[in-house]
Amino acid sequence: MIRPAKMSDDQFEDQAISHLLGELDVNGEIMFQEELARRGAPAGAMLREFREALGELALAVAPADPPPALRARVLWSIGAPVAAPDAPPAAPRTFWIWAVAALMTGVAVGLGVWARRLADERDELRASVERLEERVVAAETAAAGSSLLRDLDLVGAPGSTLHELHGTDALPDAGGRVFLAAGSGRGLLIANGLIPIGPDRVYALWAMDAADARLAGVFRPDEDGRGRLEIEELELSPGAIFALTEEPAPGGERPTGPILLASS
Amino acid sequence: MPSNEIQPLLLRVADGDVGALAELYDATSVFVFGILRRMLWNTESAEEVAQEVYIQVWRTARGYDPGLGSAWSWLALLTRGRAIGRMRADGSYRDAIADLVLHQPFPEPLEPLGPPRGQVGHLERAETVREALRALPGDHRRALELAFFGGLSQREIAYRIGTPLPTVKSRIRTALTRLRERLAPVPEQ
Repeated sequence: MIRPAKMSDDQFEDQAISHLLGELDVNGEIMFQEELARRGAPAGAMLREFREALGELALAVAPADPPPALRARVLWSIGAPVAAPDAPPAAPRTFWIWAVAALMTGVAVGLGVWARRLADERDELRASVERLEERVVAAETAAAGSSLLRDLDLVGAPGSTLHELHGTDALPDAGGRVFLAAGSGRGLLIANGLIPIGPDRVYALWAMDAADARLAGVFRPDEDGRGRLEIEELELSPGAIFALTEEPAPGGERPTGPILLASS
Repeated sequence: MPSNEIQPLLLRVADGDVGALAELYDATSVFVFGILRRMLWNTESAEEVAQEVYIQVWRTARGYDPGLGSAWSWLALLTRGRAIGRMRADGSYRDAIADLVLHQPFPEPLEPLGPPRGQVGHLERAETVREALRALPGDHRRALELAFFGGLSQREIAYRIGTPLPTVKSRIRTALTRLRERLAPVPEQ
């Protein structure tokens, strides 16, 4: 900061006026305050007189009645117990330009943040879906593996019997096999060539002999006409055969439809 | 509204007295609003800035030091500062105001305000100020007006009226000195 060797009275008064008009920068204000302190009370009095002159100058303009609602707004703004004021005055155009610009900026920023958040959520959801898909595949694989193991265990068990099923005239291209474990009553039907059926229909596997037909279970084939049914408990009487019929869901106690597959 | 009447109000406001702010508003708002309308040339802007002024009074009255000046000069300079802040927010607006100030008679003729609301003393004082202004040379009065109401710095005034900066400073200093000589200091309590 370059300091004048000595400030004249006129220069000091100019500085005082600039100070009162708010024209001094930081360095100028520091210099002025130092000079003010150095000059003591007379300088303070001079500054006060200039300040009062400027205050008086403000009185030279014509007074004007403010809008009546302004008083309530002012008091309401400082938390005074007054009735809620009217809406604030319409701001000048320039204000609205800035306000709209600020609003648009805020909206843009908000949208940006929102878009970023949505993108993050999308990525998170996508990752979740991928994780779920992996889990589903793993579960399906495990389930399939489990089913396969169960099937292999069933099919390969000592004493298991195999019953071939052939399509009847009603479904000549279909076929199947029933593996029946000895002793446990558990069994497995694997069928193919079945016709897809509606949701209100099922295929029913029966164990039939001359006197009776016992339901072994119901299932629905897949889109390729393949069917699989685990038999939980079935005791096949001597001379009995397996027969497959199509029945109204969920299946009844007696077969009502024609036999589609039958073991010999 | 002699300044010695509003000083106690301002000191009460400094103590957080809401009622005092209401009284201060009643005593000064026509003058504050007049200053703002004169400086901003826009009633809506003046109304908005007037609200800012009284909110700032409420928040900063504690900083008022009676030893440095009257309550009115404190309020008047605060009002001017808020108006200049509004002007400087838009440079083109500020230039237009400076043009208007240059072509506006000053001091302006008084308009009747309707029934006086306790400001008779102030109006008499205002007329004394106008007489003091009329006694100034025109270029001095104009420089002072541009500096106070036009929101221009002394350097900007020099540029706008095509006069050297030292001359502008000298005119303003002389004008204020003559004003303070003609206007007796406001007695404080």
